[in-house]
Amino acid sequence: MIEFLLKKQNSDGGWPYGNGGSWTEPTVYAVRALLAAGETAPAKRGIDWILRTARPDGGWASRPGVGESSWVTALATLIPEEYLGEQTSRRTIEWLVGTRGEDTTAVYTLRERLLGRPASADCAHPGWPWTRGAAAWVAPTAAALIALEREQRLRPSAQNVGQIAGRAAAGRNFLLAHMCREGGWNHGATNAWGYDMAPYPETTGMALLALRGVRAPQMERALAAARRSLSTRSADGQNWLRLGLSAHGQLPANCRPPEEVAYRTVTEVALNEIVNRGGLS
Amino acid sequence: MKIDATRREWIAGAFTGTGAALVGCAARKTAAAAAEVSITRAAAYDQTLYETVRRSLAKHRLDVRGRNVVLKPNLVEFEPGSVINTHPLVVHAAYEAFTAMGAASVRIAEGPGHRRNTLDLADAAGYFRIVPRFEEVFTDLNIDDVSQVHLPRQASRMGKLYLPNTALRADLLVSIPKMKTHHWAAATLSMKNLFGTVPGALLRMAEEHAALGGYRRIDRRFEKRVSPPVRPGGWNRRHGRQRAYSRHGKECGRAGGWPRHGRGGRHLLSDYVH
Repeated sequence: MIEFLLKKQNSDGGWPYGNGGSWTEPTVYAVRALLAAGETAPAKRGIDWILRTARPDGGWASRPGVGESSWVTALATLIPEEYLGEQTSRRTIEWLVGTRGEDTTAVYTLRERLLGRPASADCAHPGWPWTRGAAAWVAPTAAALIALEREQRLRPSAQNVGQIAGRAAAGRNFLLAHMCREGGWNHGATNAWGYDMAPYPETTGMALLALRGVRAPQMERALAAARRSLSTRSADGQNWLRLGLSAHGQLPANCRPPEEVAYRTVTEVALNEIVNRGGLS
Repeated sequence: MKIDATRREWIAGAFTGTGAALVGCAARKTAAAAAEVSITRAAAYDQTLYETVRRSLAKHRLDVRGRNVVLKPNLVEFEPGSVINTHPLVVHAAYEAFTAMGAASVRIAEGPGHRRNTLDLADAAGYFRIVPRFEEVFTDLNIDDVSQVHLPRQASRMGKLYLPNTALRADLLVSIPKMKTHHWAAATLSMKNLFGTVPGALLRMAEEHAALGGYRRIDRRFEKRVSPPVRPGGWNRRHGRQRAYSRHGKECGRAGGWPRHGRGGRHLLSDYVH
């Protein structure tokens, strides 16, 4: 698996999802996997790529050439701070704190009121969008929450700690509000045309990881849904479920992914390595 | 240009500084060119589909010799016993037909919006089982390299899109959607399958700017025209239930929103269960 990651590294230091140019998401996961495996030289080339591609607004785009910072900004904080640097880390957190679902912004809410429409139900607990100007979804909210909680642990007495804590609390409430009736999470919809929506393994795992340590009555439903999903043949699903259940100490002992799970992309292989080497602490 | 905005919308736009966006979103009436249409009955999803699709395409006298063809099915989610995705036999029948018609290359390409892991979805939907060497002929548009494309006409607040090079470089992009119900519009009549060409990592930028900027207007006008509103229940029983796309839907703009970039044209081949 590590060989696969080494082979897939682009000459610019980053990683593609499969083949082609470098993207932020696979590069972050590959760096974390290689650091965990002790492969520091290629990991550092990956970190250099990440530092080079930081945008002036403190965020990261999905890939260079895309002129807009996105949810992958939260993933950048998974790079250990000794490599990312305190200043870069702080700017990243500022970008995250200043980003929320467009449908919960004051301007959008005012416009909706003037049009005679109800405000978004998420106004009380705004989540994070994939890109600024869009509505909030489960996966980017989970990623941002993981980043903010890490920041709270790293700098518990930072100047903006209250603001960070407020956004983190809102993010947790957003996730709890968007849990499917049977437990677990999908992209963010719980019901449509009267039908309850089903959860996905990968977003369920991500949300569980983000909700580490949360004690709420509905968490048992979420954990049960995650355990039920462990039979998934999706590598992505397996990786996130294992990370999410481990965060709650609920991964069944000797749990192994089914034989037929295929690890095809850089993100799948890297996350699997991360899972097997101790997780995203 | 006709500005199709209500007084309330103009007031809201003026107060919130989105007047320009409203103008940008306003409907423009454009003349649609007549298109050649075939509706062909197929008894079942079985081997006879190959001949049915081949004959249908032959009728349209498409010359694809030496061209690069990209087939874009509709993969959304997978649910056993439900009809959500384009059936793999329809896609493979098209693949075989275009190959037989002399295309230089035929690829299947898709980038689902809900589940970012396309190969898992394709596997669950039966594509690996039906299409030989599926991974070799398939491009996951969610992780394809992209190019920036400026939109020649604005139907939303978006001025540009990032589109996958596999789709942009195609000589012929064939949309093979699944005709089904939709949670906002009740039916989209296969008009928006090409939304799935926007890579997953960037998709939300497109769909949500569009959704927040314009879908409600479209949705409301749809409701006005369909009275009483189409109830999805009846459709569901006959055609299978489609799960909702997103909290905000994927409704955007109008048919014809695909930018006229790249060398190719586009063609529609729909999978409709009746």
